[in-house]
Amino acid sequence: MNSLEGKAGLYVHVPFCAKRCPYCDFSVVVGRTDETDRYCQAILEEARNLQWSPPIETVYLGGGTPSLLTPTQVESLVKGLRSQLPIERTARLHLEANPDDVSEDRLRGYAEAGVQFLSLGVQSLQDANLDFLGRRHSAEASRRGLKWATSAGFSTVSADLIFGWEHQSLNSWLEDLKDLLILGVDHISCYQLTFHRETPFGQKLKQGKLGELANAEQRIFLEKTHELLDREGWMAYEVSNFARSSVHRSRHNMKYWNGSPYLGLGPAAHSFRNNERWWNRRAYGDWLQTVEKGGIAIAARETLTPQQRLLERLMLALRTTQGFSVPSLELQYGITLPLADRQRFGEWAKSGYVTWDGERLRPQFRGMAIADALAATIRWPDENLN
Amino acid sequence: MNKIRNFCIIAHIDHGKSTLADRLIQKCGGVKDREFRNQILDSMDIERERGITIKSNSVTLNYRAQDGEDYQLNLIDTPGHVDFSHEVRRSLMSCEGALLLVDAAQGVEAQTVANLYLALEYDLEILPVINKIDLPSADVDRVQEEIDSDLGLDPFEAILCSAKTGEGVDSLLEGIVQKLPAPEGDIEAPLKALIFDAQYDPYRGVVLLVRVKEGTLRKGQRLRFMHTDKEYTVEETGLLKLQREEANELTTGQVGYLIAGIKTVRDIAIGDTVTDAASPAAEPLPGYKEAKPVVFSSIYPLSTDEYGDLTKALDQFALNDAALTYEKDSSTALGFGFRCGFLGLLHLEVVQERLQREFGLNLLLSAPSVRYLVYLNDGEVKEIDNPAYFPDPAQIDYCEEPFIKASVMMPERYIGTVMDLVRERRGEETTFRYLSPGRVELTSELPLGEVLFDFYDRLKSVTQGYGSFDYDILEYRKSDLVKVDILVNSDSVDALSQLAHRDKARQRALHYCERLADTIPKQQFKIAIQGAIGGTIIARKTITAFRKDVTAKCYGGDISRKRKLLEKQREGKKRMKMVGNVEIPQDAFMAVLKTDSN
Repeated sequence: MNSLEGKAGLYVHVPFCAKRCPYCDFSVVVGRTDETDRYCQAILEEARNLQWSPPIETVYLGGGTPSLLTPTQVESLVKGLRSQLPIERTARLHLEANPDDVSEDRLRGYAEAGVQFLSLGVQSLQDANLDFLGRRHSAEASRRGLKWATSAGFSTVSADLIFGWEHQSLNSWLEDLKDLLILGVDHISCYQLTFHRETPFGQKLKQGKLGELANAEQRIFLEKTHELLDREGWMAYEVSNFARSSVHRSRHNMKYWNGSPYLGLGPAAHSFRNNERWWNRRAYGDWLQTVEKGGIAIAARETLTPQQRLLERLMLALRTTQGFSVPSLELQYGITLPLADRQRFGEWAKSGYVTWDGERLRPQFRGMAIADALAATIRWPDENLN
Repeated sequence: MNKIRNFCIIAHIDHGKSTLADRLIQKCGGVKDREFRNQILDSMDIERERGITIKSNSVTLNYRAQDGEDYQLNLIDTPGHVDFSHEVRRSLMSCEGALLLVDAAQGVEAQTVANLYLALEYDLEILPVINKIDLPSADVDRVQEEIDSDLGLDPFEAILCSAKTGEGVDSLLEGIVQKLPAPEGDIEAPLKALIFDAQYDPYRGVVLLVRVKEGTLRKGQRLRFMHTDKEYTVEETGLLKLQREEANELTTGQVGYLIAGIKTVRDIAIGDTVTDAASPAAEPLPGYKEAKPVVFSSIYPLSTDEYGDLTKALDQFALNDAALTYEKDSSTALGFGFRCGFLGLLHLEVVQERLQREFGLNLLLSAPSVRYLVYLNDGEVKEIDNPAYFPDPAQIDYCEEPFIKASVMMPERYIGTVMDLVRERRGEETTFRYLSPGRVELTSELPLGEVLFDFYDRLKSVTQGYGSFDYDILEYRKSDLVKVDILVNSDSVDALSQLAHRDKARQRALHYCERLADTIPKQQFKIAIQGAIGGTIIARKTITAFRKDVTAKCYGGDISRKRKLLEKQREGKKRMKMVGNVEIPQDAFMAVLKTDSN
């Protein structure tokens, strides 16, 4: 069994933002940045109230805008968490940052506070696109930020890019990618713009004021991205996550895809362990009040059958180049792979969607691109337990 | 007898027929206010949803009139679709009068006129009723004017009422007593009773709804059913109040029920005349027509292990539907099923909808077809209603298809559009004549196959609802018949094959290809849908493959939602039929029921 599978990841949500981007549907609170200390206290309070035993080897500060916390706050928060939760000494610390919050000093500060994986929310290196996306920063600020970041002492510097709106230029996109490579990033995540109904973008889409990039074109964006980075010697380890080399992969995110347990703290955060998943209340004020009163701010939970867990493993594994091992999953969930699926995997291999050696199935790009459709056809999770 | 009134209520949809019926029932003490439940007579969900009545229903009301006398009012509910014209006619034949209901705000509308035409054919006395006078938008003067000009009835005869508030209902009841005629008939004559409906009661067997035209029907009497040539003894008879109310006898003019140890509705015929076995009437009542199936389709369970359930469901269903015929059948594409015969397309739709809803089945249907005659070179003649058994064209001398004589009644302003429609459906010998100023009857000889496919709906559409339609079967006539096959990625799906006139073949094939292309979801490979005659492709549609479906973000908070979506998709896939490599949803097979929308 892969050593990364068993141990847990810790996700800490930092909901503060200077403003809400028009496409964002995360749990975010605008302003109230004078409450950050109080918030960190509440996080520790939440951690204290939970019973969590699996050893934690990654800590991810996401948001919102975690870079609204100072390096000192980050350091003391992580220290506090270490005292409440079984976090390993060598745990990797991830932090998300916005280009408009970072200065050379601040970034160095984070690195010194122990952050190893820094992710910068670049989204695009074209000002016109940033304008469209309602981002506060300029392309120049991103370039500067990346330059500082790559010399601040992080193990991995990552940039996020967004694609998927109508009329987006493929050429600019590829230029952005090349620029990121020149700027020396170690990791790239591509986010597909999703038009959630309740967001301003979602409303505009409904009103026909803006459009999505057609499915066929989205495919091309992804395909070209994979090709370009592949040529540069990078590895695509998930359909939209790329690392310069295997050491730069996001160990934390991989936990979501390989069935590892994870604990989420903060509003709307999700947790998973054994066959239980639960998630926190979404509204900042609501969460804060509940936790400060000594309560646990869980909004809902679900208990999963082995079949459901197997289905999740398959649907997630089909997005990754690592894929899945049939004997391993058979053992873990006690359900045997039906013959029909064996034949199916063989056909997929013939069509170039995956490689399949009878035990391990590894998706190729073509397979990752239609991972959902492939996951829908596997009979395995419908089988009975042995 | 002169204290009896037999009547029905005819109206345009939503003009308040059911509410009025409920109100009449309530007023006559049939039901306490507490128990009052809306629309007691309409019993099926499907009927409610489509706003039509499919089964006849009837209720006997006791009414003490202002003259101090007690009257027996028999309200007979009537189905409203040409497929069931059989039942419509029987019900109308059981009445002497009709309440023609008009909405005080909407005024005279299409079905008001169409239903009036039908009632006049049976010489019913018409009593106009203006309903919904409680509405602020009610305009009684205008409606009276319409009753005069559009319907040719005396507007001052019209009774004003509101079924909702109850206003005017007393006057209406008086109107029924005073204005509608009592039935006539000889109480001493040999028994003649008309069966106008039959229902299956799991405890009692078949319950017949009858109207006694002559003579008397008694408990214990030995009866003879004149058309089916069977004899039964009266176990029980009586009146149809909201519950059955037993009586010793039913006499001339009365409407009621009859239980006679009949096991299934298939043992009797709606419209049959019931007489005394010992001293029978000389002749049955006129106008009897056997209800024969004219459209055929095969029904398959979506999942082969539901075949047993489908069998049970059909057997159960058939207890109460005499017109439905069925026998075992099988298809290469869809496995084992049943070849079924229906009175028409609406009958087919209602049956498959009820089977799915009431028995929880998931069904697939083959393309509906009429029955053709195929004359082979060697002299043999085959009756073919299933494209799967259509002989090799090389062996065929010629074919014949059934023709009908259609009669369409409508206001004259629609002559043009209706003639176009009829021409489009290969109508011949089309003529029309005036029934009265402004009202025409168009007759035409049409192939039954062309009329099956939503002719009625199209007619309603081009006449804005004012047209009414009925037909009689004529003889078989020569026809250039071809078999159209539908291929999905080069696999012929036998259940989708159909027989069509050569001139219409391409249009049909293209329509089917389009419907399939709309309903079959994209898959990992391109899908070619083709229509062919023999080896020649005459229509084609392509469904492109999907190449990307995964959203480029899936972290902790996304997993649960994504899994649920996937679970739904997987459930949906269970409702798909694999035909070769292609997953075809249940909807696609049902789409064959929806026809050309020109």
